Parts: sequence; C-alpha cells; structure tokens
Amino acid sequence: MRVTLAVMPWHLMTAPNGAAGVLAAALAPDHEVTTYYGSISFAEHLLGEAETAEEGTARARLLPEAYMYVAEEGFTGGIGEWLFTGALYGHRSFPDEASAACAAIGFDPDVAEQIFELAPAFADAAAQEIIAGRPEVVGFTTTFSQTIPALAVARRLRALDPDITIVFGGSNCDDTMGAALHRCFPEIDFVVRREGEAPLRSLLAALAEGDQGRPASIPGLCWRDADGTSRANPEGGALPSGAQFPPMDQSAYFERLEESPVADYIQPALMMESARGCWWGERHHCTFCGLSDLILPFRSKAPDRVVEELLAGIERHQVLDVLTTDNIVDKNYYETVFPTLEKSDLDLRVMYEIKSNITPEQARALRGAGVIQVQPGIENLHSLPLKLMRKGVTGANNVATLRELQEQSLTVLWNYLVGFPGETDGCYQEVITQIPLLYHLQPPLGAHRIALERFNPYFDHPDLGFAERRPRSWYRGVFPDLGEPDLNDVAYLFETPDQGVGGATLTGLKAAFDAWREAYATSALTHRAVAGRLHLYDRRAGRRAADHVLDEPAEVAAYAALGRGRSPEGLARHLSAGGWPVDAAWASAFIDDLTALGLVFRESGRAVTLSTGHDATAVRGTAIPTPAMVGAGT
Amino acid sequence: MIRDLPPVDLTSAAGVAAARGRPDVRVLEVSLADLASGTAVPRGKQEPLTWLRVRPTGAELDGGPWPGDDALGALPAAGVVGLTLEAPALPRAPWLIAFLVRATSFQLPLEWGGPVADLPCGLLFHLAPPAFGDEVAGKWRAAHRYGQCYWRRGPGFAAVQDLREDPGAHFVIHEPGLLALFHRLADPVEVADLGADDRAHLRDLLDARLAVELGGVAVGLPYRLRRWPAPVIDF
Repeated sequence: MRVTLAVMPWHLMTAPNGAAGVLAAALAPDHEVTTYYGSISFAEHLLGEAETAEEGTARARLLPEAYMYVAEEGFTGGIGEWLFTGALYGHRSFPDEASAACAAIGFDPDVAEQIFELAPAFADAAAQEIIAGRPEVVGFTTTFSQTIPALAVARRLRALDPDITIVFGGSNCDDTMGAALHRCFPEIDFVVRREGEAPLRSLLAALAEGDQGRPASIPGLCWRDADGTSRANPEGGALPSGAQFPPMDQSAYFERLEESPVADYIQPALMMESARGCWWGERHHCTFCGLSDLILPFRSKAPDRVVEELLAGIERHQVLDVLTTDNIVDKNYYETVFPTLEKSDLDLRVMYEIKSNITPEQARALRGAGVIQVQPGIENLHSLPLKLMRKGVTGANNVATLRELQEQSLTVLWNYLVGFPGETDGCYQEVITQIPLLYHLQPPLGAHRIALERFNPYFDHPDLGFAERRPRSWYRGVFPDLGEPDLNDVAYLFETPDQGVGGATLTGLKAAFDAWREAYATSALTHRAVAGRLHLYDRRAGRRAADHVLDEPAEVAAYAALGRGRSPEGLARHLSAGGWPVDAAWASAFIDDLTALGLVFRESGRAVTLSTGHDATAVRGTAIPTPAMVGAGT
Repeated sequence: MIRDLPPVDLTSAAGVAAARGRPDVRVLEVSLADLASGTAVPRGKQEPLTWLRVRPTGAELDGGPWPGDDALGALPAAGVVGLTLEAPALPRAPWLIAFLVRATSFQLPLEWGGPVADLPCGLLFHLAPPAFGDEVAGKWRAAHRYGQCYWRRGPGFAAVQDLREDPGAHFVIHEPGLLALFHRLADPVEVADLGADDRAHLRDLLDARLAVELGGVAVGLPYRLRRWPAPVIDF
C-alpha cells in the first residue's frame, strides 16, 4: 500500500521522529512509505511570515525558537493543542484561557495569537501536500501536543478524499485515550495502540487484501463495524523483543531538513532507539511515572547492534549528536556499548536516561563513550519521598550520583519532585539547609509538584492518595464537543488536590535552587591524594575558601568509604572488614568532624562525601554558545 | 584529625608559588624540550598539583619542538593545573598558534602574553587569551569564550563549528584530501612543501578562515573539542 506517515507539530524538530522512524523501517519491506514532516513545514511557514513581517511586531518573532519553545515547554499547559483549535474547529479568536496558559509559561500571548491565526492555512497546505502524494493510508503519530494538529489535518484529508484510510497512533492513543478519539472523531478510521509495528503491519495487510474481518482480531485496534460503531479490541498483544525492533529510518527527516531554511536555525541530532520499557519499573513501577504497565517490560537491542546502528547513522548523516528514546539505559551497555564507543575515538555527544545509583566506573564509561548528557531520574534528595516513589535509591546515593557525574563533567538534567502522600516537611527542610554544600554540583532544572498522569501507580490506585482527580482544564478547551466521560477517557494529564507538603515548602525549595543556580559557576569542592594523604580544596560560593588535609590512613580510608552513603555503624563495619579496626564511636566522631567542615551531606542517618577529583581542565558553568543562526557549508 | 591549611590559589602560577612548604602543591620549571618529549612531569596519580613554568630557548621560540597531543594530554592526570610560558619574546606565530590550539583543546590553564598586535587576532580570539600584553591582548581577553571555533571527529569527517562571527558557520569536512590537510595543519606546515592539490585545499581552508598562513607557514585554527562544559545547556 502507499502509506504516508504524518509527523505534525509539535514534534521537537531537532531530531527525527522516533515513531515515524521505526514504523517507516517496519513497513518499508512491504509498502511504499513516505514521511511528511509537518513540524518542519510549519516552522518554515512561520519563518516565512517572520521574514516578511515588520520589525518589532509579534509576527516578526515567529522564528524557529518560538516553535521550539512551544514544543519544549507547552505540553503540560496544552499550549500546542490550543494553538490548533482554530484550525480544527474554525474558531476565530484565540481563547483567553489559551492566552493565560501561554503567559504562565512565559510565552508571549501576542506571538501565540499569530500562530493560532496562521495554523488553519497551514493545515490546508499540509492536507494538500499529503494528498498530492496520493497515499492510500495516512498514519498520524500523536505524542505530547500533536493530537489537535493531527485532527485538523485529518479532518481536511477526509473532506478532500473520502477514500483515504486515516490511522492514528502514538502515546496519546494508548488505552482509553485512543478509543475515545476513535469514538469522537469519525474522520479517524483506525487507531493503533501501544507499540505500533505489529498491529499496523497486520492492518495494512488486511487493507491490501480487502480482508474486512481481520481488524476485529488485531490486538488493541480501534475500528468501525458495519454499522459504523466504534469498536476497541483489547490491548495486550505480544510485545516485540529487542531483536525485533527495526532500525530507525532517519533519512526522511534529514532529507527534508537539508532543503529547509529552518536548517540554519537548528543543530539536528540522530534519534536512536536501543530499548523500550524499563527494567526498574517492571519490578517497582515508580509511583509518579506515566509509563503504562503494558509496555513496561524491558527489551533492549543487542550491544553490537546498537553500536553498528549508531555508527552507521553517524557516518551516513554526518551528525555527531545522538538522542535516545530509551526510558532507561540497559545496565549491560556500561560494559559493552560504551567501551566500544570509547575505542572509536569519535567526538560524540549522546544523551541517555539512566538509573540514578551509578558507580564511578559507570560514570567513567559514560564519559568515555561520549554520553555527556544524562537524565538520571534523581527527583529528590531525601530517602522518604524516594521510598514513597519506589525509586529504589537513597537520598545520600542520589547525591553520590550527582557527585560522580560532576567528576566526569557530564551534564545532569534532573528535577525535584514534591507532593507525595506521606512525605513530611522535614524531608525538605533537611535538604534545604544543606543545599549550600552542594553548590559545586549541578542544580535541578526546577522543583515541581508531581502531576497525576494516566498510568501512574497513583492513577491506577486511588487509595495511594490521589483519589480526587479530573482532567486538566485545558482538555475541555481543546475538546469542546466532548462530554465528561469522553474527556475523562481522552486525557493524559490530571489535576488533583495537592498532597504532601504545602506551597510554602515548595517556595522555599525553589528559592534555595535559585541560589544554587547562581552559585554553581563559581563553586568547587575538590580533592587530590598526594603521597597517601587526602587534600581537600573548598571553593564553594558563600563560604570562606579553605584547604584541609587528612593525614591518617584510617581517615583516608573512611573518607573513601563514605563515597557511598553510610551510617556511623555501617562505616565502622565496612572499615573493620577492610582491615581498619575502628568502632562506631570513632566513625561517628569522624563524620561529625567532616560535618563541621561541610564536607558531607547527611540524611536519614547516612553521610556521603561531596568532593570531586581536582581537575583544572573542567569547564564549568559556561554553556557552549548555541548557534542562533548557523549557515551550512561543506 | 583533619588539619586546616591556608587556602592555596590553584588558578595561577603566583598563587601556587605562594603556597610554600606544602607537599600537595609545587611549581616546576621545565624546558620546552622536556615538555615536548613528555618527560616534564612524573606520571603518577599521587603527584602534587603542579604548575609548570616553561622557558623556551631562543631557538625553540623559532621552531620548537613543541608538545603534541599526547604530551599535553597526559599533563592533567599527572596533576598539572596550569602552565606559564615565559619567554623574552613571543614564539614564532604559527608555532604559538598551534600551541594555543592544543592548550585550548585540553583546557589547560595557560599564562602567556606579549605584544600580540601584529598577530591576526581577529582570527585567534577563540584561543586561550594572553594574560598580559598590549591593548590588543586586552581585546582578545574580552572577546574570548570557550566554544567559539572548534571541530569534532566523526568517522571519515570533521564537523567544524565556527561562531567567531555572527552569523556563525557549520562545516562538514569529508573530502579525503581536504580532511587529511585539515588534520595535518594541527602542526605548522611550510606552504612551499605542499603539492598542487593541497594548495587548493589550503586555499579553501584559508577562505573559510579555518587556517591562517603567516610567513609562508600555514596552521589550523579550530581546536578539537575534548571537554564539554557541565552543563552543556544554559539553565
């Protein structure tokens, strides 16, 4: 069949769309597949307007950075969806609620209004462009804020050509969400839910063969029976194994970008998929995590395959930056993929999500491989909220992770989450008072109250504390014709009464983080072992510069042992087992001495050291200038 | 018992020198030849933090030998926290530039300076700036920022990012002959020694401002980006 995969705004256009890349590769052997990058087209559309606009007007600011701002920051407020409601429903004026939502994230409502006004013409053009390719099937991927834009184009396609088969898929189509979209939007013929390769292949085979009976048996598929009634097959078909994941086809994206004026504004990265699911979540689903149980089983690609695909993509597209879609990196890769990449001596920049709780060797392996940006899922620095989250890590060890990553000069992207039923104010005060000790480590991007999302254990089990919930208010605005039951089914993000600590604590936390951000660039706490002694150099902002030295071998050994969070008893046991016969009193006194000098972080009875190996070549706190406008040349 | 020591300034030669009688820091006077041969500093993990004072002889100022990647790259692990280039005159320009490119690549703190007004500083301010000198030296220091002109190694290509000017430029050097010359220019090359093809390639690099030719000797300008800042993005 002739299939067009449509990637609509607000896909983050700095890399190929993962879903489209996987599906294109999965379908290519049997079908003629093209990919329409509506994200790039829309950004071009906006850029075209900006270039002819009068200087200083809102229209003049419709640059790719405006597109990226909506794509990166707009999801939880439904901004991207709001911006296409005019295109879908024919509304003429930009709703006040949408304006307010834009202002709330620091996006100028005047610029937003321009986008809102331009979206309908763009949707017309998009539909025309897709139709011109004469596809028999058009598949829309919907994740984050792509649903309304996709519906806007789907509606136009349906009007232009009643015979085209329209399929929706993607994260916004999982579970009841996809079934609700199917019920409520007749322009959608089929919805494919969960991992799409197998059901989509089956569906296309059925369409090609004219097999009317097959849709009823494709796992998870939403289809219409002879009466036009929407039917939703139970989900839960077999999940593909790592060996079955097709390699992501990136060429459609790079070809499209190459010919685009938008290319001058962005630095594209490769998109890689090396695993699906989560090996931690399979056993203990983190309570705030919105990954559905059905796709939690962890499956990863074999290490040599990962390396091979990575290097092939880098060579083919001549790009050295790599994003990964993995929810968590396969632990195996620390000893396989990463050492192999290190040997290649390429200057890669790879981004991965990892489990917090990594060893120094693992941190070294990341750096050697060029995995210089990680999301370690830290979330909190106190063991009680972490336990409530089922993260499987202590606060002290999260600090150890921040320290190990800092030692390797890796960029750490992390957030601080609050609002867990059962947490106490103490969990936060204990941390707030010690934040100045952490000034030399990377601060979190922000502190947020946790949001209830579909598929969280909190969502599935109201008895855990979030019994009252309703869809975020913007869903009603972007789906004005849906009744409450359908809205409840279609929503992914929910509002709940606040749980856990109050607003004052959250405010205090944010203020402490603001100070941390200010202090980071000028702060360091380093050590150097010289002739068996450990020397420490404290240059953290807000403290007097101080040098310390540990002379005694037992102290040096104890300091090393406190690289992992330990209680005094635990420290004494560990040292005694290692040939240093000390008792808990000694250990306690030593930890207190370190505490007096601000050299340890303490929580839940454990202490952990903070210093990193002295490295005069570390580049701190000054991000590489990002090209605002870079021309391409060879 | 944890002892306190007066805090040492590890960011300058003067700071390290001022910390006397300590086992953890020292200043070492080394020759350029020793630096180039990799024998300037004992390579141990428990060596003191060391500031190197390098005094090139007159002959060395004129043509080296200067340390290559291996020699410079080994210094941080051996405890070197900075290097001062002490000379009565500036080294011959192409060699100075090659050295600055390497030092910037390894992000080794470097103290150097002198009369730079005769150098094409408009092409050089992405490199480790002079700590002292004339008015132009001051402008170089003010304009300098990490990440303004660098390259990254890919399989069979070098990706160059040049943000010295606005708008910036991004190049992918993949043609084998051009790529080979680009790599060769990590050290100064006598233009007279180049064949016709290489001269054409050199012309391309000069036009793109990725190399400079001074007194018949050419040298490359972008440094290999080995250290990403932490964080790589702005907060």
